[in-house]
Order: sequence, then structure tokens, then C-alpha cells
Amino acid sequence: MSQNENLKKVSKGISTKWRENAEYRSKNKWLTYSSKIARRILAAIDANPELNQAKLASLLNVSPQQISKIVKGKENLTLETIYNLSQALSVELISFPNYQWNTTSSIDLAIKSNNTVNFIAVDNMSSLLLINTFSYNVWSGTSAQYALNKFNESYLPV
Amino acid sequence: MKIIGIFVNDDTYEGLHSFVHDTDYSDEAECEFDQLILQWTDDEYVSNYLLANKSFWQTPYFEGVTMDDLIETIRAEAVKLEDLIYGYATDGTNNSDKLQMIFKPLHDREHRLPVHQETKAKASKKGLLRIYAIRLDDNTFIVTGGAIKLTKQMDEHEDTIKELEKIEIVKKYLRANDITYADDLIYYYEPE
Repeated sequence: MSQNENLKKVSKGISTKWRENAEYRSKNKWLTYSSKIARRILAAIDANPELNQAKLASLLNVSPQQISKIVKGKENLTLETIYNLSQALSVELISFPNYQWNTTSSIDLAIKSNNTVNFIAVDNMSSLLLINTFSYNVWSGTSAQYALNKFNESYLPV
Repeated sequence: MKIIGIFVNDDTYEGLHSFVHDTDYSDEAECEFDQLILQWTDDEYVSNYLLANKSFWQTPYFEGVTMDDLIETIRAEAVKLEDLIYGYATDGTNNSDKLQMIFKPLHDREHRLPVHQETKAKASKKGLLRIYAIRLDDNTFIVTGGAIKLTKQMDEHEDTIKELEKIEIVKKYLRANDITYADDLIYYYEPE
């Protein structure tokens, strides 16, 4: 078709850079994490009139080009770099969610009022809040552990 | 030379092409299309853009939407658009789906198919990103530019006004070089 020939005549050929970049972006899903960190760095710089990218580079002893890459959200940051950035900016850039080892085991002491102890059972392994509450009348001097044992005796897993 | 192929069938030359405007592209970009995707996936570029255009998104329409939400949305839309186009590029132009499934008429209520129809691609119905292109046939499009569209109408923001001007530049160039697929005018859009 002559029209196609006319298009072919003016075409520079094929862009190779986009396909390479697209493949890279498609394969490296961690870029979404890099983006989230970049935004927090940009916001921290924006919030501090004393700071800019050049000063941050100097504080971290890296090149301004390195900071420029980081704030574009395209760098595969090491934990060391993230830590150093956090220190320089006085901002937490990442956080760690709770998990089964830093939450109480099977039963939480929820409320203590007067002579009643209320418990809520939580299955931390499955992150399920088990629908079971229990009130146990305690008397002066009863230890929380004793009340807990009483609860365990009557507690039936859901 | 003003046009570069993004992905093109060697024989028929159908596929996605992009215009190269007289502008400075970043080192990584060779054309409008490259530049758009690079910018939309660049947190610094997008955050600077949003900071400079606060009055366009701190409006009732965007109530409850944070700047972080917008950056995240723009990035996600760019990736979605790129994935969609990459799918066409890697699947070859033999795919029964045509590019006109992605690029839809720019103007609503267009009752006839004009030569050099102005089209847009977006990631979703209420998406913020636009890739603008001229249609040559159902599977041949030339990207003219694109925008983060924060207003309802294109004439409400200087950037989208500029995009309308870029579309005209490309149309003029196509006419001057006799790049017109008249045979295609007997066809019309298939239903979605």
C-alpha cells in the first residue's frame, strides 16, 4: 500500500529503548517499593527548608546523581542505604508489621475491672480473632495467671 | 525524520508509531511515547508536577484523595497502559485484537470516521493518564503525546491545550507527507 510506503519513508526505524525499559519494569516488581520509599524521601526534603537533594547527597557521602536516581523510585536500594537515608532525614522510610512472634500468644488479657477479668481469645498463628469472651470472678489476691488458668479450663476453641 | 516505530509489522508497517517532536527528550527516551512512560513512572517528576498543579487537584472532585494516592494511581495506570501495549507488541500484530481497542476517539459523539482521527488511550474509565494518537487504520496509530489529565476538558489546562497543538502539528506533518490511509475509511469501530 502506497500510504504504508510513505510512512516507512519517514520512519526512523524502531525504538529499542522502550521495549527494554518495559521488560525491565515488568520483571522488577520491587520498583513499587522503591517508589514508595522515593515519595517519603521527597516529602521529607520538601518539609525541611534546610535540606535539598545536594545536601542529602553530601550528608550520605554519595553523588547527587545517586540521590537523583533514588528519588525517581528506580533504584534497588540496599538495607544499608535505606537505614542511612532514614538517619539523615530523621524519618522512618520503612516499617515492619506485627507478626506472631511479637504479639501475645493465645490469650490476651483485655480488660480488668473490679473483680472481673475479661479475656479475648486470639489465634495469632491464623490471625483470627476467635469469637469467645470470658468473665471470671476473682477475689482479692488472685493472680492473673490463676484467672488465666481458669479461663483456659473453660475455653473451647471455636 | 519525525516518526519512530514502537512496534511495527515489517511487512504491513501496521502497529504503534510515535512522533518525535522538536524537543529535548531525556537520555532514556527517543520519542513522545518513551518520554511519557518514563515520566509517569518517575516519582520525582510526578510529585513535582502535582505540587505545581495543586489548584487542579485540591478540588471537590478529588476530595479525600492524597498526593500519595495520586502518585500511586499515576504509576499504576502507567504500568497498566504499558503492559497493555507491551502485550500487543509481544503478541505481534497478528493478534485479532486491533490497536483501536486501546485507542478510542478523542471526541465524544463523533458520528463519522475522519481521516487522521484524533484518539486517546487510558488505563480505565476514570483514569488520569492519556496517551494521544492519530489513527491511520484500525491497527496503525501514531502517538502525538500524552498528559496527566486533572481537568474535565482539555482546554482547561495549559498542558492539555499544548497536547491539542501537538496533535495538529502531527496531522499537518502527515498531510504534508501524504500519509493517509483512505482505504480504511470504509470501516468503522467494532463494538467494545
